Amino acid sequence: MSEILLDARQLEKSYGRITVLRGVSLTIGEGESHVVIGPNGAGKTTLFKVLTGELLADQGQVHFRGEDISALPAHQRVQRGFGRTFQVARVFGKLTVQDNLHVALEAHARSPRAGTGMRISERLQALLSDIGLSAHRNAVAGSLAYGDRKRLEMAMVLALEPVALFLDEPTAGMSTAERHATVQLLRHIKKTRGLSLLMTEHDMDVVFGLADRISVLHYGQLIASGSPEAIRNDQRVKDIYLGDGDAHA
Amino acid sequence: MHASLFVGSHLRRDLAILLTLALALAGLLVPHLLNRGLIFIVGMVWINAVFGLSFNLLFGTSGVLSFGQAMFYAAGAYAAAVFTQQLGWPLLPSLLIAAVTGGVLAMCIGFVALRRSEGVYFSILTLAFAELVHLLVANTSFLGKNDGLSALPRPRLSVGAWELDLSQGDMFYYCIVVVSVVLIALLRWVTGSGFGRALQAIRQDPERAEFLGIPVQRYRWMVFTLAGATTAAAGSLVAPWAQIVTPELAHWSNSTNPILYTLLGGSAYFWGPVLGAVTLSAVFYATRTLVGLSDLVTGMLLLLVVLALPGGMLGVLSRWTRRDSPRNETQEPKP
Repeated sequence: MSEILLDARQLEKSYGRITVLRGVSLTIGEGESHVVIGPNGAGKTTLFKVLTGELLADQGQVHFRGEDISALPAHQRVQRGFGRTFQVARVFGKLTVQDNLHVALEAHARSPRAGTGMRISERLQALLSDIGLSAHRNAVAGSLAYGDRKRLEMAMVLALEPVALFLDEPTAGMSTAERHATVQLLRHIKKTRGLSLLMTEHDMDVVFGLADRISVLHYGQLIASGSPEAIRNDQRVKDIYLGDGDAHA
Repeated sequence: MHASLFVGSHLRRDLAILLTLALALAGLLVPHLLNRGLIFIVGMVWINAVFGLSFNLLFGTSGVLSFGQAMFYAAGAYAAAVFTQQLGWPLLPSLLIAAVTGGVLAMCIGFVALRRSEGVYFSILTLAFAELVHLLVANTSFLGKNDGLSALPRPRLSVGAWELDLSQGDMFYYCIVVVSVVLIALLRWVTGSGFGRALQAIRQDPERAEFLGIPVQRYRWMVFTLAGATTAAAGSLVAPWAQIVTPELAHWSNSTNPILYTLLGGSAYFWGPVLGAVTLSAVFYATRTLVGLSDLVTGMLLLLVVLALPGGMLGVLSRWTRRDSPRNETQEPKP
C-alpha cells in the first residue's frame, strides 16, 4: 500500500434539509488513481467540491500529507499541491493561449512550493510544446476547438506542478477517439509526473482503464471501495450501478 | 473574437509608452495654444482621465463595479485642501498623504464590502458608503460643512533646498500633467503586470482563477485599495487647481463620471476612459451655452453608446480596423 496522500474522514454535507454526503471517508495514496463512481445525484460532485475546497464540509475532516486542510479555501489547497480540471474545460476565453499559461505559471511562481528551476518563459515554451499549441500561442483561447481548450486547461493545471490531480468527468461530451486519447494522456501524465489522481467518471471503460481503486457513492454514502476487480464483483454495486452485464469484464 | 487589449506584449508596451509620452508632450504645449479658461478645462481632463483609469482598473480589468469612487476622490481633495491650506504643506507630501488617505479608506471599506457582498450588492454597498462619506463631510465643521473649503492656495513644490512656487503662471497646470502622466504610467504598468493578468483572469472566471492558486478575494481587495489611492491622488490635484472643495465631490453623481468616461471610451481598453474623459469634456464645453440642453445632449450621447456601441468608441474603432485587415486567428496587439 502506498503512503496516504489525502485522507478524508466522515464527511457530512447538507444543502438546507437535504443531506448530500453522509459520513464519507476515503483515502488517496501517493501515485494512486482513485475513481469515484455512482448514479446521478449520488453526491460525487459535492464530494469533489468538499475535497477541493470549493465547499466546506459541515462535519468531518480532510487531511493532506498529514495536515488538516478542512478549513482551507481552494487557492490554499492548490498552493499545497492540488490541481483541478472541470467537467467543461474552463480557460480564460478572452486571453491568448500563452497568457492563460502565464497566469497559471505566475500564480505558481508566487506559491510556497515554487521551485527555483526553469524560468517562466522556459516553462511556457515547454508547456506549449507539450500540448502541441505552440503555433496557436497568440490565438485567443475562446477561439480554440474544444479539444484544444481541454488540453490548454490541462496544461494550465500542470503548470502548477500539482501532486494530486482532481478531474471532474474528464471525458464528458467526448467522442470515443477523444476518450481514448484522454485516457492515454492521463496515463502518461501519471507515469511521467508520479501524480495521484482522483476522478469522477461515468464511462466504465475509462473508469476500469485508469483506476487503481474505485469508490462507489450511493445517496451520499460510500457503499463500496476497493480494487477494480473487487468492485466489479461486488453484488451490491452490480445491483445499484453496474448491472450484471459483462461489458467490463 | 478578440483578446482584451490590456495584456501587454513588448510591442503593446512600447506603443503604450509612446502614447503616454505623446499625450504628455501635447499636454505641455497646451498653455502656448489656449486661453486660461480652456487651460483650466484641459487640466480637469487630465485629472478626470486618471479618475476614469483608476475606476477602470477596478471595472475593466478586475470586474469589480464600484458606484462610490467619488468618496475616494473627495477624500483626496479634502486631504490635500487641509494639508496645503491649514498646515501649509508643500505639494508632494500633500499628494502622498491624500493618496494614503484614499488607500486606507478603500482598504477599510473594501475589507467590509468585499467580504460581505459581491456583484450588484457590492456596487450598492459602495454607493451607500459614498453617501455616508458625503453626509459626514457635509456635516463636519472642520471641513466647512456644506460650503466646503475655499480660497485654497496652490502649494509649493519642495525638493530638498530647491523650491518652486506653483501659484505662478501655468506652473500648476504643468504639475498636473506630470503627476497625471506618472499616475497613468503606474496604472498601465499594473495592468500589464502579472498582477494585472491575474485580475483579468479573475474577471473572466473567478472560480478557475481560485483553482490556479490565485487568492481572488485578496486580489480584489488589493486592487480596490490601489484604485482608491490613485483616485484620491487625482482628487488631490483638484483642490489646488479649482481652489475650492465642496461635499459635492463625494456626491453619487460624481461617482457616475468615471463610469461614463469608461463606457464612452470602452471599458475593454486601457485608454478607453482617457478618450471618454476627453470626449465628454468636449461635449460639455460645446454645449455649455445650451442652458438645460447640455445634460440632455450628454444623456443622448450616452444612450447612443450603450445601445449602439456597447464596446465604446475604441470598440468601434477596433472592429472597424479589424474589418479592413485580413482575418487572422491571432490577435494583433494594440496599445
